[in-house]
Amino acid sequence: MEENPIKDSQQLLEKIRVEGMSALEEVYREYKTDFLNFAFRFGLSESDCLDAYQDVMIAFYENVMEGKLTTLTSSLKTYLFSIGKYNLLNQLKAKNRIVKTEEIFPEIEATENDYFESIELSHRQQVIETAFQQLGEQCRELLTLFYYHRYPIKNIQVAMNYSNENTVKATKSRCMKSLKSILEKTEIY
Amino acid sequence: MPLKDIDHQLIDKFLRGQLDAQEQELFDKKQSDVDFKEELTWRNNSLAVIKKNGRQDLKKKLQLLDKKIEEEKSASQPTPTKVLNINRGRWLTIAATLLILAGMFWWWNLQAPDSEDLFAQYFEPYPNVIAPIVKSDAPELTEVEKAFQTYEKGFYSQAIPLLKKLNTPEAKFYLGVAQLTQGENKDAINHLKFIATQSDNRFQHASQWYLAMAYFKNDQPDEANEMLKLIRQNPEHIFYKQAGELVE
Repeated sequence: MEENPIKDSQQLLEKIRVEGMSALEEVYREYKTDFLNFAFRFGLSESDCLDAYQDVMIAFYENVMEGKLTTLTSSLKTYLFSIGKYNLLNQLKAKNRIVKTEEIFPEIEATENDYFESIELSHRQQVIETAFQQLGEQCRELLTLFYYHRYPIKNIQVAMNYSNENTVKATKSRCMKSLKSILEKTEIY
Repeated sequence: MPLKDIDHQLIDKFLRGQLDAQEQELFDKKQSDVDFKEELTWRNNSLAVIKKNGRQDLKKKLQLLDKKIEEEKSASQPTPTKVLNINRGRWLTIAATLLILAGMFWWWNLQAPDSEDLFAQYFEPYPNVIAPIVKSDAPELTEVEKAFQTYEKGFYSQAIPLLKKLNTPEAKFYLGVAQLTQGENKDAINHLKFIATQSDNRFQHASQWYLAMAYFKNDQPDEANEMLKLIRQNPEHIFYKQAGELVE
């Protein structure tokens, strides 16, 4: 039977949505070598290229989990290369290196991605961050799985070994309350 | 009005991008409720913090995964498992041989490496970043593609006349590298020197490095070292690290 990479990628997206981070490992292994060979052409160091690859993986993962990426119009590899190209060109720009973008892999169009605009926390958010660091590890993990990874409650229950979904929901509310009370204490003193 | 469970659920759904049309309408209406808005601001701020931390954690996980992959790779390399059964006399012979080898190695290292050796050790043709070989249905290659793809395939002597015809600064750089592979050192030096002084040329850094290589090849170690020192003055130089290994 003929291989259909786009159809396979489609299944992969679904798998990531359902399984989350563990399915990302498969993608990471699959495209690492190809991506690094691609990235080396931009004349960056090996560690910069590896860093870029990991950032591309995170950007891709976020897009899937946030529901921004539901169907691929090209192969997954082309998609990864195109967001990678955007990231690599940005890095070159940051190092003040002039690049004629059309000359490096002209067939791949650099695609912008939210992930590459770094999160600058406001003063208020920095205070919340300090409080967040003081939360117990379990709370931090649960809130991260819920709000960042956007795992369904059922998956959090399995991943964190809770007895049922209601416990997850109750713990989540308790964690948010703890965060608020730590914050209030910090603000008093 | 204090918030109800349903309000909290609505905010969660909003933060996770899961509002349907009906819920979105309700959510929009709630914007006029001061308590609701206050709770939303607080949760939005928390979300930004959680997102930032989530990214950092995920990055760490990927770095660990990468380490694991590299370890698996090195573990799958064949390692000698056979235990050698050697008697004492043979051990002495082996020890003596190793001593002699170590002595030779030490003596060898005392000798200053000559220019040609350094060239052979460090020279590697620059990759073709101009017109990479891609699968294409286009029947005819352009002059640029022809020249650079011949270069990429490693047919340097054939690439030289094609690159000469192009007469662009990029082509001049690659021409220099190609000539270096063919031992046309003086011509290579002339071409690379030209690009090495052009600060607006994106191959300036690479040219400086290859110029150093060309000087080594042409047995001009003093000029080569000058060029390496120049590279070392700029920590952002793409050949900064390599130049550091060679600079003594």
